Formats: sequence, C-alpha cells, structure tokens
Amino acid sequence: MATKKWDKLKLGLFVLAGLAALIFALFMVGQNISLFQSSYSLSARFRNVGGLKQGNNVRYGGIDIGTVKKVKILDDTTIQVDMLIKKDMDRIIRQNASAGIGTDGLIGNRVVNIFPGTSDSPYATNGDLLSSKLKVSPEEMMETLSKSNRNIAEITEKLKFTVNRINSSEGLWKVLNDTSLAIGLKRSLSHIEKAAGNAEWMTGDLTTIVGDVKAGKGNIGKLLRDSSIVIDMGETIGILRKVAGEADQLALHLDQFTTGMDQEIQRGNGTLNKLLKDTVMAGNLSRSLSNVEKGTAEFNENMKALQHNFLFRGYFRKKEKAHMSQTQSP
Amino acid sequence: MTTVIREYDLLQQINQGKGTDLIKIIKLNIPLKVRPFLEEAGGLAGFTGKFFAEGFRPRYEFQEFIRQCFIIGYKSLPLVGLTGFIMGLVLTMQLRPNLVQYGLESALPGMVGIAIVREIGPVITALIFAGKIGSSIGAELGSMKVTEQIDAMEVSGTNPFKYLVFTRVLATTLMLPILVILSDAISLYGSYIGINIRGATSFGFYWDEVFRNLTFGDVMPAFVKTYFFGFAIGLVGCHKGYHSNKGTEGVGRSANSAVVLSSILVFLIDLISVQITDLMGLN
Amino acid sequence: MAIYPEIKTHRLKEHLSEEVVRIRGLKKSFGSNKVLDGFDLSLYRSENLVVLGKSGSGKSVLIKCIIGLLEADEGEIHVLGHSIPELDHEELDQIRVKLGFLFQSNALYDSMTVRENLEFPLRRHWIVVTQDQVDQMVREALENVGLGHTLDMMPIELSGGMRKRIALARTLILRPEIILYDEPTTGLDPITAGEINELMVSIRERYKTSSLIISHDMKCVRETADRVVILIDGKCYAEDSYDGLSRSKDKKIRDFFE
Repeated sequence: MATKKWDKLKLGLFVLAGLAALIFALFMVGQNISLFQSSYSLSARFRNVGGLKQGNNVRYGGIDIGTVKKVKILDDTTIQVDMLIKKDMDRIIRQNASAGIGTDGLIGNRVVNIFPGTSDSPYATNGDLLSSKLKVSPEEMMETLSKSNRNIAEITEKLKFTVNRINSSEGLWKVLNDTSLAIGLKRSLSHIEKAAGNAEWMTGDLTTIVGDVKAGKGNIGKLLRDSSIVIDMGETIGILRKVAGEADQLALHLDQFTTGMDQEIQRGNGTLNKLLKDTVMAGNLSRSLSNVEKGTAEFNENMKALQHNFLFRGYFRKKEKAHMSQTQSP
Repeated sequence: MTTVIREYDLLQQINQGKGTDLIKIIKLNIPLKVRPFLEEAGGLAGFTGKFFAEGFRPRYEFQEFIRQCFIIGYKSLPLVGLTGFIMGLVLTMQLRPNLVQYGLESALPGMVGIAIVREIGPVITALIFAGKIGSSIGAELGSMKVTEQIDAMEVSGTNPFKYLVFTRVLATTLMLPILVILSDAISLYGSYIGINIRGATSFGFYWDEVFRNLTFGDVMPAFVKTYFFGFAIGLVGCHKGYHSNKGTEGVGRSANSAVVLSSILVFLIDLISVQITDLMGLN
Repeated sequence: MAIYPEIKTHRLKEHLSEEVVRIRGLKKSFGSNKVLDGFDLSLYRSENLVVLGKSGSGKSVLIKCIIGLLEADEGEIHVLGHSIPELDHEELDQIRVKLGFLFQSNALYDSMTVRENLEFPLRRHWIVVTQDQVDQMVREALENVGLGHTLDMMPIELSGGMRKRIALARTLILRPEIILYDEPTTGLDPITAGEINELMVSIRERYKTSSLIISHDMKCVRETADRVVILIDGKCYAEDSYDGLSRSKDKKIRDFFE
C-alpha cells in the first residue's frame, strides 16, 4: 500500500509539472516579456517603420540586444517605437546614439539598428528617446545606388573636362616650362586621371549590377543584405566630389594664373620667376595642387575599402587581370 | 412499384432484426478490397459510440483510472523525454548549417521552438506513445480477452468495458497532452544544448527567444490536438485488444495493428487539425 | 458466516426451487454453424452434473449462455427461477453472485496479486464490506484450496495447478449456490487433475453447492459426476449416471469411454 501512495504522489507531481509548464508557456506567450533577464526601455521616433512590428530584434553593432516592445502611432507623421534593451547595455548606449530601421537577412525581417553616439554624451537611461536615422529599404538602396552612379559619372566627366582643359592650355605649359610647379601639376593631373578612370570602372560595374537586379537577375539577396555598401558608396562619392571640386579650383587658379601672367607680360613689369614665387595666385595654385593630391589619395583609399565589398569584386578582378596582361605583354 | 415494395419488405426485415438480406445486398455491392477497411472503420466508430454511451454512466472506476494514469503517463515520461531531448538536439544541429548560410543563425531558437511546439513535439511524442502504450494496451487487453479475463470480470459484476476500456482511453487522453508539454520542454532544452555545441547563447536569452517567437496560435492548437491524439491511441489500442482473435497469435496481431492504425490516425488528426487551425485563422 | 449477507432474490414457485438450472430448447449458432440446436438440461440442488462432449461441441457455449456471457438465439434458461435472457444488467449481476464460474484458462488477472484477484469479486458485488472482513474472507478462501502462502504472489509466479486452485478460490469466495466448471482438468497433469477433482467433490460436500461440470476428461467425469449428460450435435444425446452410461452399447457413447 505504501508503494501505491508513492505512485500516486509521483503521478501528482507529473501532472502538476505538466500543467505548470503549460500555464507558464501560455503566460510567457501572452505577455511577450523578457522574464529571464532584466531589461530597460528606450524609444525612437520615425516617419516610416517599414513594417516593423512588436517582437522584432534590436541590434547594436549587429548584435541582438533587445526586442521591439511596441510600435505606436503618435500623430500623422510620427511613429514611436518602444524597445526593451538588455540591462547590461546601459553602460554602452549613450543618449546621442541614433536608431535606424534596417532589414535582417534574406527574408526581410525588420530590425532596429542602434548606432553609437559620441563618448562625451551621458549614458541613455530607462525611457530615453533616441534620435532616428532614416531607414534604408531595398528600393531606396537601389535608388541610392543608381543615383550614386549618376553622380560618379557626372563628376568623372567634369574631372576629365578639367584635365583636358589644363592639358590643352598651351600658353600655360610654355610659361611653366620645367619648373617644380610644372612637375607638381603634371603629377596631380595624372592622379586625377587615374581617379577618374577608377570612377569610370565603378560606374560601369554599378550600371551592370543595378540593371541585373532590376531585371531580376543577380543576387538581390546579397545586395539587400549588405546595407553597408550604401554608406561606403556615399562616402566615396563625397570624396570624389571633393576631388572634382579641388580639380575645378585648380583649373580656376590656373586660369587666373595664365590671365594674370598675360597681363603682367603685357605690362612688361616683373619676371616670370617673381610671379611664380610671390603672387597670391601662385600661393593659391600650390594650395590647389596639394588639395588635389590629398583628395585623390583619399579617393584611392576608399576604393580600396570598396574592394572588400563584393559588388566591386568583379571590377577589381577585371582590373587585376588587365594589369597582369599589361605587365606580361611587353 | 415493385422496387418500392421490395425496399419496404427489406425495411420490415431490418425492423424485425432480420436485416440479413439487405446487408447481404449491400455487402455484395461493395468491392472486396474496400470491405475490410469499412468494417474496421465501422467497428471503431461503434467502439467510440460505446465509449461515450457507457463510460459516462456510473459507476466510475476511479482507482483503476489513477493506476492507468500512472502506468500510461508517468511511466512513459523517461522514453518520451529521451526521444524529445534527442529530437530537439538533432533538429537544431540539422537546421543550423542552412540558417548560417542565410545569416539567420540568430533565428535558430525561434525556429526550433516553433517547429517543436507546433509539430515535432506533439507528433513525435504521439508516435512514440502509440508505439509504447498503444501496443501494450492492445496486447494487454488482447491477452485478457484470450485468457477469458474479460469474461471473468463480467461475471464478477464488473463492466469490463468501463473497467478496462474507459479508464485506459481516458488516461491516454489526459496523459498524452501532459507528456507532450513535458517533452516539448525537454526538447527545447535539448535544442539549447544543440545551439551551445557550436555557439554560445545564454540560457535566459535562449528561452526569451523561444517564447518571443511563439504565439498563442502556436501553442493552443498544438495542445488541443494532443488530446485527440491521446484519445485515438487509447481507443484504437483498446478496440484492437478488446476484439482480439482467439489464440496467442491474435494477441500479437492486436498489438501490432493497434500501433499501425493509431500511428496513421495520429497523422490524419494532424492533417485535420492543421486545416482547422488554418480556417480559424490561428496560423 | 455472518459476513456473507443474504441476498434477496425473487423465488419462483416451490416445485421449481429444486431445479436450480432449467434449460429448454436452447439454440445458439455462430453464422451458419449451429452449435446448440434445441438443448435441454436440468440441474438439481446439490448435485454434480457433468456435460460430456467433444471439443467444439458447444459445451462452453452452453455455460456461457447460462451465466449470460453469450446471448442465446432461442430457448429458455432459468437460473434459480430467473429467466436469464429477460434480465437487465443489474439483475444479471445479482444472479451472478450466486453463480460461480471456473474458467478453462483460469482467467486470473495478470496485473494483480493473488490477494487482489480474490478481492476483486468481493469489492465488486458488495460495496460495503470492511477491510478486515475482506482479509478474513480472502484468507479463508485460500486456505480452503490449501494455498494460504501465495497471498502476495503474482499469478505468473504460480504453477498451472496452483492457478487453477486460486481460480477456484476466487470462484468460491462469494459462496455461490451453483458453480459452473469449464473443463476444470484440461491441461493439468493427472495428479493435479486428481486433486482438483477431489476439491470439486469436497466443495459440494461442504457448501452443498450444485455444480455443472463441462468436461471431456473421463477420469474427471468418473470421480465427480452424480449424473452425466452427453452433448452431441447440439442436443442432449443421453442422460444417465456414469455407471449407466459406461454399460451402454450405443456407438457414440462408447466413443467417450474408449
């Protein structure tokens, strides 16, 4: 009889364990809260959350740090996203950190990405509102890519034009002769040409990719997955634009230089040497040259960074091949 | 006119308990291969009807019910737990490479959680349960039938249907859901271990992930269908045993066909339940 | 004896009271196979009646009809004055208290101990019986068959002869007025079979029960029978004492004795 009582006890435990597990599961499912670890809450406001919903992940530097607790509409243009963040992140996220909405992987789950702020800002605490970055949707990314492409093409054209203009200015070269200024100018021009060449390759590649993706060919998944390319591209275009600006400046200064020189010669006072050494124009010119130098270096640096991006892998491979055949052929 | 009269005569015969002619006519018109299936279905349906007709009238065999709950529920836990654990672990390790390919490794807990709670937990547990309990009930009742123990009960003033069948079917119906819940929990723990073989996820974060991805619509239909699984397994086991043929061979056949038929029924119920869940918009 | 309460059963007229089982024109068939075809039988108080027949001649069907496990197609069955086919379930249960049934395969419950096996019919038929009374009755019944030490053993641990005796103890525990034996010595060795035969006789002596014994074992018939009925082709073929039948010249009867 003792064993039977023991059996009943065990059966009771068994049934209770099952019921407890069920009730617990239902409770957890219904509440959607983090019971197993402490957390705090942060919010961000967006114009468009692109389908973000309760339960989506929140990431910081690509690591899951919490979940979206609630998405609510504040007014006709503002949507507030409340997030539950793991407690230990309160020593990481600062008040001037920003939040953006991104896409997670191939299937396109929305995620909130939190981007680090600056270290001079205090840490964000429970209930703080973070500033928001615009979200990048695949469509927008495509849009950005093709726009970047157009920009690059435009700038490249401009650069070529400038280089041509400087090259074809016979009077200038006659005057400069073999001075150090002439050598610097030549080097700068070749750098600009190289950058323009690089940019041209890139536009070619981008056109193919954008065309492919739009036509439904190519690996859209990979493209959509890697939103970092947009940032990289933006940066590169910025630099390229800067280079173009510098080159323009250079051309302008050269123009001023040649006209100034003509005037001086007509007036018959001062020698070329003096002109090259002392005038404001000369100063401007050499500053322009060094700026162009810096700009092209930066641009090439960025191209190297882009090299690591798959989108341009084809381009760099082509380039390497071309280089190989060039070195082999002679 | 003549056909009407004939039908009337046949109806008369049926009313007088002499339905043999009509039954013969119907029987002859059913293809040979379909007959055993129809007989089986009819037998099972009749048995189910008897279950509801007889079971809920007093007197209740409470002691026997508790004993059966212990045997059927508690004693199945180690087996069900072991298979559940392995399923969770294996499923996780099998899914991982594919998810890693798509960069969805972080979705592993949620995905495994849904797979286990919605489908794998209930169905695998029910199949294991059918194998263990369906066969043992089939064999037990079969041998009781063959060795006249069921008759002896009847003679001893006990309704053997209530004492043997009702208690067992009720026990399987009520115990399987509990087994499934516990097996789900063990499975998910197995999955947690599977995730930590190649990665590092904290225990708390894993469970949060699992529950975050689960909805009421995942848990409830899966839970409800296990009652039907349990009912089907118990009923088929008892039906096969209770109507076992004479001889020891009959006992073996009852046990065997109990497992086969109840496994098929588990899948059929699963199929129906997914449709109903779909229609109810809980998917 | 006080612990065996008197169960009130409706009694028929006086002249039938001596005839505890009365069967007239019993018919039972399975499909097209007519097992019993107008069988007649009377069992009188305190007698041992053997129904002799070949295997498959419907002997078991006969006693299963008497106790209500099978439904007869036609014919009357009266047990202690009650018409079995007309009783509902509850009334049948009340009659069954007075009817013992020893199954051919013993039908001991495999999942229960000997004690639980014996307690089973007690608990079923009389709900209000104290544990002490139950224990006493179980012990007494076991000692009656000489197996007091097996109280907490499982049936599977016992030999065939012991199981038969436990089954007999279980049948006796309700002190039935009539005991139906279904081939009590089949499958037992001659010595054990002899012991069972002795038990059957001594039970009759002690409790004044009426017994209906189904058998084809001639040793059993000779040792236990007051009267023998021979069942052939679903009918009562002959009826006499053992000695009377053994002297018969009839071919079919002689078959049993050779």
